[in-house]
Amino acid sequence: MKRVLVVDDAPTVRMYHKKILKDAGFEVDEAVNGLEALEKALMNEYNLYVVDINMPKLDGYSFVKRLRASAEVKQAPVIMVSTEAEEKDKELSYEAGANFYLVKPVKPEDLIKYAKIFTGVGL
Amino acid sequence: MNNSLLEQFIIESKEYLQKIGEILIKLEEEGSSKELLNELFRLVHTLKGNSGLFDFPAMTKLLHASEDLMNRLRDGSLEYTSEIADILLEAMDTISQMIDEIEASGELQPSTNETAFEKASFIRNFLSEGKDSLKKVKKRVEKIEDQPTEVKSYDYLVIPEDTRMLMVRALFEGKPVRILQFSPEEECFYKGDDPFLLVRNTPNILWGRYYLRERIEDIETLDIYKCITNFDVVAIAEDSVLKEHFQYVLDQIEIIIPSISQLIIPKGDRNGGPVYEDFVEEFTEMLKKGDKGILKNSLRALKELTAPNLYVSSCLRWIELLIDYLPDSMVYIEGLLRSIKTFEPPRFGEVQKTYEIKPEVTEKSMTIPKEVLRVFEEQKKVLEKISSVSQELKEGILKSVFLSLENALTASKNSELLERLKQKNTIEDIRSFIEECLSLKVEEYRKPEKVEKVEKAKKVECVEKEEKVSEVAEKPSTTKVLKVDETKIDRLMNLIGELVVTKNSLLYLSRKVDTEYELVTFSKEMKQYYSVINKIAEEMQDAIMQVRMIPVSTVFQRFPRLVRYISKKLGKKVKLIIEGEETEADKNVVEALADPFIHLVRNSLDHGIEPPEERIAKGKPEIGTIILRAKQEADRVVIQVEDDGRGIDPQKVKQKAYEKGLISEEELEKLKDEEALNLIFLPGFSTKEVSSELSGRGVGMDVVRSMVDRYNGTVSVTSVKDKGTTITLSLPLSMAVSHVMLVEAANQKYGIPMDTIIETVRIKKEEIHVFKGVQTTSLRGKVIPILFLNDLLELGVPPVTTEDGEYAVLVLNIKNEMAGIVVDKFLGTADIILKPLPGFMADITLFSGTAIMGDGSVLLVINPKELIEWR
Amino acid sequence: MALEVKKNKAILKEIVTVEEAEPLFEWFLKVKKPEVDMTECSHIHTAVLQLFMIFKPKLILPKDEGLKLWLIGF
Repeated sequence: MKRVLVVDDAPTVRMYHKKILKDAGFEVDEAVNGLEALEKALMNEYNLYVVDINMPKLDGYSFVKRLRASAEVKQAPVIMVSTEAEEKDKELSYEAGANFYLVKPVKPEDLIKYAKIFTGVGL
Repeated sequence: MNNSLLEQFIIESKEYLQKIGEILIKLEEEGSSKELLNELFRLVHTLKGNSGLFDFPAMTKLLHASEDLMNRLRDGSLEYTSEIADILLEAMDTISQMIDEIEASGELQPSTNETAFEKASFIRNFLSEGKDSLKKVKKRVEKIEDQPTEVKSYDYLVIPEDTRMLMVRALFEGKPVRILQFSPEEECFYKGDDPFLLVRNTPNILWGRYYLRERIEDIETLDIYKCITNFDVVAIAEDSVLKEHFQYVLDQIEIIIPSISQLIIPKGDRNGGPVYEDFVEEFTEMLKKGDKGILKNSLRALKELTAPNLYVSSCLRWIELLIDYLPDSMVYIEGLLRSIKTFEPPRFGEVQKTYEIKPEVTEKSMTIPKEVLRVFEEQKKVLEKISSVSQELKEGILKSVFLSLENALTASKNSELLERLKQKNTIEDIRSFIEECLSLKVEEYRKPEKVEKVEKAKKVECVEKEEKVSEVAEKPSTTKVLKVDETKIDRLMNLIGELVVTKNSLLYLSRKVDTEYELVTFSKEMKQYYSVINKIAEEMQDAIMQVRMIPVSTVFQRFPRLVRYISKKLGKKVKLIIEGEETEADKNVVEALADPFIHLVRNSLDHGIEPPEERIAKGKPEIGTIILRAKQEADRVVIQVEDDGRGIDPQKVKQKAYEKGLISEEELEKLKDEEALNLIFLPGFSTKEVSSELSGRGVGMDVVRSMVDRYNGTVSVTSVKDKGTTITLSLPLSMAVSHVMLVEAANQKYGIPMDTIIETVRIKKEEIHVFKGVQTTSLRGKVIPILFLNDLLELGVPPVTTEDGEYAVLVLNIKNEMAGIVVDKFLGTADIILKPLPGFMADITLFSGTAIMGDGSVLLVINPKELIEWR
Repeated sequence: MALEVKKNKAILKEIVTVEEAEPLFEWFLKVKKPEVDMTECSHIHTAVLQLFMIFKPKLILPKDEGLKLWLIGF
C-alpha cells in the first residue's frame, strides 16, 4: 500500500485530505508542521507528500527544500496544496523542489487522481 | 464525512477566533508587533483555507479580504490603527456569528451572508482607496465591481437589460452588433443639420438614447442654437453600413464593437440566501446532460420564486437566454452560476482561458490521460527552475522528477515509454524525454480521431468529453451514454408516426384488392405482410417512445428545495415525502407537469398545511406532511400531491362560488360535497383573495386545470376537513400517438380519443327516455344522458339506426361524468398522429385536431369535453 | 405652423423644425408648469429635443410610435 504524508497545520484540512486519500486506498500519516514532517520523512519512507505552504515553525517551502537536500531520503514526489492561486506561489514551490501544485480547496477527485499518478497506482 | 468534517471545522474555527480576538486586543494594548501580526495573519489565513472546504462563499470572501488587510499590516504598507482594529474586530464578529449559525443549523442566514459580503467589500475598498475614503465606500464599491479594469470603456449598463439580451442573441447568431456614439458638433444647427433625425434613421436600430453633454449654468443665457446633445445608438449593422449613414459626420462618431461578455451584466438587489446554492449545483449537473427543455424548466421554477428585481433573478434571465446557444454559451452560463453563488460580477474572461486550454489537452490526451500529461508538463516546469536552485537541492529534485515521471507512466500503464525513461539520467536527457512524450501524443492522437469522426457522422456525442477520454484510456468496452439532440428524436417520432399511419393504408388496400379485384389470395398475403409490418412498426414506435421517456424525478427533484424555502418563509414545518420518482413518462408530459405541480405544492404549503401552533391545537403532529407521488396506471401517469393540512371545506367553497356568481342558488342548495370540491377548478375561483407573497399572485386552480386539459389529462380532488387534501393529476404517458375510435355520422368519419371511451353499446330507441328535458337511458342501473353526435355537430341529418332499430352509442367518461353519444356507425380503432387544426379553424375547440388517414382522407378528431360543454 | 402655444400648453404638430425652438424657448421661460401635447407630432428637431431635456415639460406622448419610443426610452 502506498504511503502518503499529509502536512498541514489546520486539523480540518488534514482531516479532509486524510479522509479522501484513505478512502482511495492510501495509507496516510500526518504532520502538523514542516518540522514534524521532516522528522517523519527521515524516519519513515513515504511515496508521496501532500504539503501546505503556510505553516508555523517550518513552512512548506522550507520543508521541501530540506527534504530535497537530504541525500539519505528517497525523493518521493511532493504535491503542494495552498490557498493561493497565483503563479508566483507555484513557481516558488517548484524552486523549492515540489513536483505539483494544487489550489485549496482541492477537489477530492483531483487529489485522488494525482496521488495515484504520483505514486504509480493504476488509474 | 461532511458532518464530522464540519464539526471539526467549527471546533477549530472557534479556537482560532478566540486566539484572533486575544491578539487583536493585545495589539491594541501593547502596540503592533511583527510577531503578533504574523501570528494573526497565519490564523486568518488558515481559517480562510478551512472555510474554502465548505460552501460558504461569503465567509471565505470576508476572511480573504481580512487576510489581505493583515498582509498589508504585516508587510508594513499599512499601519495598525484603532480604526483598522475596529474593522478587523467587526469582521471577526461576523465570522463568529457565521460559525454559530452553521453550528446551529448547518447553514447561514441570508442576512448574515449579506453582512459578510458587505464587510468584505468594505475592506477591499479600504485597501484600494486608503482609509480616508470610508464614507464614499459604498457607492464606489458598486462602480468598481461593475467596471473591472478598463478605464475608458463604454458603460454598458446604460443599455437596458432587454436590449443587451437582444444584442447578445444577435451576437450568438453571428450578426454584427455595434454601439455608435455620436457627438454632433456645436454649430451643426447652423449647417441645417438635425442630428436627432439622422440618429432616428440609423439602419437596423435596436436602441438609442440622448443626453446633454454640458451642464446648463444659466437658463436665461442659453444658446439654443448650440448643439450640446450626444447620442448613443445600438444597431445590428456592419461598420460599413453605419459609416455610410453617418458619412458626413464621421469625425463625430465612434463605433464600439461589444463582446458578449461585456453585455452580460446581471444587475439587481444582491439579496438572497443559500437556497440558490443547491440550485447552482443541480443546474451544473443538468448542464452536463445538456437537455435544454429540462434546463429551462428548472430555471423557470426558481425564477417564479425570485422577485424580478433581485440580482439572482437577473442572472437567471441571462442564463435562460444563454441556454438557447449551448454549447457555445457554456462559459457564460458557468460564469453566471458562479456569480449566483458569490454575488460577484461574473467573469467570463478567466473562464474562457481555462476553456481554451482544456479541449486542447483533452483532445491530445486520447492515449495518455490528461492528468498524466499535466504531470509531465509540470515536471518540465520544475526542471526549468532547476538551474536557479542551489546545488545541494538539484540531485534531490531531479530524483523526485524522475520518480514522478516513472510513477505517472506506471499509473497509465505505458510500459514502452517507461522502459525508455529508465535509460535517462541527466537533466537534459529527462527534459528532452518529456518534450518527446508531450509531442508524441499528437501523433498517437491520429487513430482515435477516426473514431470521433464516425461518431460525428452518426450525429451523436458522448455525454461528456472528459468521460470519453477516460473511457478510451481505460476500458474501451464500456457502454456509452449518448446524448442526442431533442429535435432528432422528434423527427424520428414524426417519421414513425407517418409510418404507423401509412401502414394502415396497406390494410385498406388489401381490402380493396379483395372486394374490388377479388384477388382473395393476394389480399390474404398482403394482410399477412401487413401484420408483420404492423408488428415491427409497433415495436419501433415503442422503442422510440422509450427513448423519450424520462423519470418524473426531473420535476420532483427541485421540490425539496422549494418546499424548504417556502415553508421557512411561511413559518411552517413541513416534511416532504417523494414516492415513485422513478416513474417514467414522455418528456413532453413530464415537462408539462412541472408548472401545474409548482402551483399545487405551493397551494398545499400556502393554504393546506397549518402553522405549527394551529396543528398542535388540533392535536395533529406539529410537522405537516406533503407527499408527492407518481405511479403508472395503464397508459397514464398519475401524479398526486397529498397533504395532511386543514383540508377544503365544501360549504365554504360552495358559498364562495355562489358569491362569485359561478353557481346558481339552486346549485348552492343541491351540490353534493364532492361535487362542490370540483368548483375550485372553475376559472375565477380562488379561495384566498390576497395573493401570496411568495407566488406574487393568487394561485388559481383553474390554471392547473387548463394546463392539464391542454395535455389531455384530468385533475381531481379529494379532501377531508382538518385531515388533508389530495389532488390527483392523470396524464397520458405519451402524447405523440393517439389511439382513436373511428365513428361515422352523416356519412362523415370522426375520431374520438379512446381514453375517454368506456364502452360501446347498442340501445333500442325505446330505451331512451326524456327525463327533466334531457334524453337519458339506464345503463346497468345507472342513468346517463344521451346525446346525438349529429345534433352536437349540427349536421342537420337525423341519426341512423341499425336494421334492428338500435342506436350505436359510445359511452364516454368526461370529467368523471358518464355520457352516451349516439353515432351512426362504429368503424373500429386507429392510431393517429394528431395535428393541430389549421390556422383558420384553430379557434374551434370542439375538435382537438386532425389526422391524415391511410387512404389519404382527413379525419377530424373530436374533443369530447368540449362536446359536452357545447350542449 | 407646427407650434401652437396656449396658456400652459404647447401643441406640437407633424415635423417641428429648428425654427420653432426660439418661440418654444421663450414660452418655456414664461410658463411654470409647461405641458406639451405631441399627439400629432412625428419629429422634433434636436434643438427642440434639447429644450425638453432642459425644461422637462410634461409630455402628452405622440401617436408616432418611433418618436414615442425615443421620448419614453427604449
